[in-house]
Amino acid sequence: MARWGMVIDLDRCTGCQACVVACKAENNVPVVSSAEAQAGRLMLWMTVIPEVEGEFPRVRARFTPRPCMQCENPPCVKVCPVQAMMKSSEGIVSHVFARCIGCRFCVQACPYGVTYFNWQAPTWPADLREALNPDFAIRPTGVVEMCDFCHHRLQHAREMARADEREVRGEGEYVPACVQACPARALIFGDLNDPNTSASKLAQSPRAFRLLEDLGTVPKVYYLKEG
Amino acid sequence: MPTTHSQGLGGDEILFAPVLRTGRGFYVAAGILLAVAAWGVYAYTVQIRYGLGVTGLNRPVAWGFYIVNFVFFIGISHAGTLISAILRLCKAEWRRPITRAAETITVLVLFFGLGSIIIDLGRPDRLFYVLQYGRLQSPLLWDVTSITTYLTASTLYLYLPLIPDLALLRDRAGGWRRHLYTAISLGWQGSPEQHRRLERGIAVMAVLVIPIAVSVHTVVSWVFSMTLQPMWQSTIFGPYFVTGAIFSGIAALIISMAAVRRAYHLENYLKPVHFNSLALLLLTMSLLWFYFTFAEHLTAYYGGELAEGAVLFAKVTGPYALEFWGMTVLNLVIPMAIMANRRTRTVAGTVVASTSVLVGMWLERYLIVVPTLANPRLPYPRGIYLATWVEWSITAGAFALFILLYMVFTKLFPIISIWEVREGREIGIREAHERMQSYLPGDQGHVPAVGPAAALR
Amino acid sequence: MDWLWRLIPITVAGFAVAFIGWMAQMLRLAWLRDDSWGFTVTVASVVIPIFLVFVWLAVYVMWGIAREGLRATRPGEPPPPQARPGVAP
Repeated sequence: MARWGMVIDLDRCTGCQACVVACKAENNVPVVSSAEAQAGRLMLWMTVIPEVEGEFPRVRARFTPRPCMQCENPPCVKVCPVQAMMKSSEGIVSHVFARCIGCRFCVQACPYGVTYFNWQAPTWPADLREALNPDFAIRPTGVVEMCDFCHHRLQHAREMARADEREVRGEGEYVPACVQACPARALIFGDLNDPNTSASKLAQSPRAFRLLEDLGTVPKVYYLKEG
Repeated sequence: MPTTHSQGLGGDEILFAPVLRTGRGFYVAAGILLAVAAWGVYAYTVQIRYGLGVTGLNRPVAWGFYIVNFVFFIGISHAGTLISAILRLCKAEWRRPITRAAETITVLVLFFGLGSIIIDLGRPDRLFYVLQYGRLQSPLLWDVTSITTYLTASTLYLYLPLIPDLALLRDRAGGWRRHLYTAISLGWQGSPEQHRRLERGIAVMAVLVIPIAVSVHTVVSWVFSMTLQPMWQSTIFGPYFVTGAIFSGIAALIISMAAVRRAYHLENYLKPVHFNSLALLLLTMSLLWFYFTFAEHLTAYYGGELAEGAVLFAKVTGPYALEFWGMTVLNLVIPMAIMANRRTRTVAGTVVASTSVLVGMWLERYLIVVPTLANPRLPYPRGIYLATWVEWSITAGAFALFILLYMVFTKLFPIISIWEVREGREIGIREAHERMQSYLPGDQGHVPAVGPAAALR
Repeated sequence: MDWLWRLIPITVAGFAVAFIGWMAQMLRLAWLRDDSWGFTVTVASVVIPIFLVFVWLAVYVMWGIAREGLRATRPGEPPPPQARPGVAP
């Protein structure tokens, strides 16, 4: 059985946020006004956390892309009262919009803050509305949403592979939109259970760490420290 | 020493008066409360129409006033159990005029607790998914289960002792009231068999309702402490919340008692001694609450863990300092100052102290929910939460509607349990006297069969 | 109005039974989904006995009181003895 994970090389990340934009486009994530964004209503399934220390010329900057950590022990799944948050057998943590009652318990339970809530009915400017992805649902008001490693792409890949009577390959056949878009190739994606994939090899690297590891959530997103 | 019949039969007319007659003051007060409640309902329709975006909630502070109100209202529901059940089991005679008011608060306020959670949902139209697809690993399902159990238990515990009073009202009232009281009096005749069954039922419920009540506020606290958020993931939350609930419940009870005492001229039944006993309980709970709060904050401070420290200092010296120190003054300093001194421990003094406690306990719930959410573990984003008019209006409307429903209850049913007060006169005095005699040394002439006395003889 | 004397205990017992039925549904769902079985069994084993006590309350206490009331208000029956003269009817 596959176990899908991501490795993010912080040495390569330039903070360009192509991954952020690609994710919004692929998943029909709603656009909010700048006033709403100031009020804390911004919706970014994939976001880049900037950390800038020091004064010029001794500046140290780190850009950390932060998708959903896709934990093996996900707090969001534990606290959902209606089983709208679930973890598949291949380790993908995803959200069922049709079941969500909007209690926002998963928003509070996630220590990484990756869950986002639709505070109103989603809107897009006219030109963006024409570019919506038909492969993915549009969420109504009052439900939660979050990154699910572009699970709809996995379903598509699985259908194609099933036609050839085989399983989805551990890498290359299925990648989330952020991984596909990154120009610096800082995001590496693949089956962590398959020893031949780059993702599983890099996850064993001495540079590898995970966010808030001591909490016991066992995230499947690894970061490679700047070396 | 039983008293004469005339004192038992004729002396309690004033307890029936609010039910049988209504003055202008009631309609004026009810009108104002109804207007505030209607405004709250209007604010909720705005929220339904435009989504939860009309509130001040955001990321990361996705829980705010509504959850604070939920915890606060459920907390107040502990008024009924403490007074009614525990004092009944301890055979404390001073509980008799208080039990009905306490039980009423519990039953009514639980609906507002549930209502606050429903108002907080993004999709209230999907509310019944909780019943259809529920998962009992989620603390919200524990809430649903225990609050339903508590609501059932406390409704039964309010209804059973109400039955004999309904029979008394049935014989005095006329018109539609007579039909109402007859209908819900379960055919009460006052026979020995009915009394036996009723008392058995009340005794069983008095024992059962206490662990249910403890479980209710414990599982409410576990909604927070089962997550991994800084200063929420604390083992102390269960007992802390139950203590706070009993604390705020007693305060609410004192205020409601003083209000009905003034409105319905019940000074003969709700005497300073009752307020004095409740005041001493309030003082005890204030100190107990402070003990838990101090332990909680000292632990967070001493270890110096970064995430917890951020939340702690946000409360003690940061953006929430005003609320934090205000809460400490309102919950500890003012109640202690008023109630530690016998001269200030009057009816008026206890009402002032109780009002202070209610405001302070609301602030305490606010300080549990918001600062933690505003200071998440990952460095970005920090949160700010400013409630909008929608949240203030719905909060005000909920309080107004609760007070209004309580007032309506006092117009339909006697707020002091008449038959229990009479039982106190006829039977309670004698039983208490016998009980106290049994505590004292001397065994009324019996020679012990075994023991040192027999050996000496 | 005395049909309500029968209806009230029936409603209480019915509600308690409905709640126990809901618990059974929760147990069934937890088993089929293989999701939070331990939690469900723990909660159910505490809550179901409590609601059985409510059923007992409805049957023994409330129905028992109502039955005596119905018997007493039947025409021609002598009035029942007073348990506590002067205290309550």
